[in-house]
Amino acid sequence: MAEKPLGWLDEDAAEHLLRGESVLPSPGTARDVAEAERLAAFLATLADTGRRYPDDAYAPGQEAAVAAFRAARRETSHGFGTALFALVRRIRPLRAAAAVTLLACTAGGMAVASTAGLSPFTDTPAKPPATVSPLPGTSMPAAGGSATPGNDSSPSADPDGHRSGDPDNSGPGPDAKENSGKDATPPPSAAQLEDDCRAFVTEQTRGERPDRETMNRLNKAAGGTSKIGPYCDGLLGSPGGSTADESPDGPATASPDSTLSDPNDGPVPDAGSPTSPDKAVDSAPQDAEPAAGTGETTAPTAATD
Amino acid sequence: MALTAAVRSAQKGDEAAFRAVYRAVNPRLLGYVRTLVGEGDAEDVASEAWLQITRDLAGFKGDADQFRGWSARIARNRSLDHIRARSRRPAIGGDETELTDRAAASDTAAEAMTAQATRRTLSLISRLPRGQAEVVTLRVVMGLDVKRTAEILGKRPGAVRTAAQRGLKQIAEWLESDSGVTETAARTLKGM
Repeated sequence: MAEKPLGWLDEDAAEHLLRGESVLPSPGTARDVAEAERLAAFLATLADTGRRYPDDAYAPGQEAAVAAFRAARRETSHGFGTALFALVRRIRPLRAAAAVTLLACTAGGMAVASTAGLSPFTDTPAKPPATVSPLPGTSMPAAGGSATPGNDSSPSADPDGHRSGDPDNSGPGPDAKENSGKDATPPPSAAQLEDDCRAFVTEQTRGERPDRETMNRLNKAAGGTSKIGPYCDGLLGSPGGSTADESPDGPATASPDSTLSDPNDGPVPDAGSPTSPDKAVDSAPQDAEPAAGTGETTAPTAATD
Repeated sequence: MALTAAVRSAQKGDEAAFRAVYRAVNPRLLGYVRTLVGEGDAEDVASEAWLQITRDLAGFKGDADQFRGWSARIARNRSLDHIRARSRRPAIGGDETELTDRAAASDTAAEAMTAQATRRTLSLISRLPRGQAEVVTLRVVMGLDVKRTAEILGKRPGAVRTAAQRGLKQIAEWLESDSGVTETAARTLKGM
């Protein structure tokens, strides 16, 4: 063996192999070629260990992860509502804030009753067409008290043991008891925000500004008064509609944006819908995701760049 | 990209989309986490990673590539926490009994061969020095590019390329000596 073993395997060759590309050592001995093929096959097998679970296959740990997802989703809606309530409280005396609570709860409750087909209960995921989008703040006790914001026994405890926004919830508790009792604090439901948007749009066309509570909710939800317009466009389902994706804040807007446009967005891969993006996600090992820049890949795996 | 769309839908609260994300990403996470904590603890550590991923999901911004990088970083932190908490070295050359059992349960020859190839693949990776194992699995199993791999490992991109090359050379040597042994054995048996 006069040649240096594996001399062909420089950093470039390594990079090609990691991307799932075949490498032909050139010039190279038959031994070099065999080495390259073995290594390529090895890496293909390795990449294959990371392929997506087939639809009918057991996915270890999935239900625990889904439970964590639901819990975090409830947390998000709590956090948002509590932050908004803190804002309102700064602006108004507590008594007036309680009145806002009552209004929000009532309006939210009425709106929920009228929007058929949506599942407001995060614990009862609906199969298509409705998706499990939470209506923040309207997670009614029917689902097992899952989302009453001030409720320390809520099952939505963050796994790390701290809950966002809870310290504020104790404030409105006593005042909130005079309302329907469904929510101790008023995270504005998506239905409430929708009503706010309608009011905003209507009153804008008449040249009048909506009332302060409405504007506060919209301002917080949209992340700024200048963004209320696009936000409401997205929420009310204007032809563009994509603004719902561009949430200016993470937790604050993730919830309200999610609801009404979701029946069109939800991929619902388990339903086996032909339009499901699951098909692409499900494709050959790792091809769908990382393969963007490596169209020339020959092996069935793409280690990416 | 389908994963990008699924992540965004999941961020909006769509549970079905989250399941799609999990099914696409968890196999990769497990493969990576194994290199740090070994086969026996990989699923526990991966589930800890998903606790954090779901908790921080709303604040994530990015596409599929970025999501894989982000989740890999979380998985790495959970893995290192696990290692420190258990005060033991990473289980390099770790517990392969689960893989063995899976192979034994295969019904068909094809499945058996696949399981054996998988077992051998994971075994070789687990024998690499940890840095090389991480680079190779982050690139190949997590599907990350050099830049993201370097960021997660806190290395320069050049160091990542070097580690990758060394890891592949080592694997190639093992593969060759394995195949050499097989050939020698075959000749020996023929001669008997």
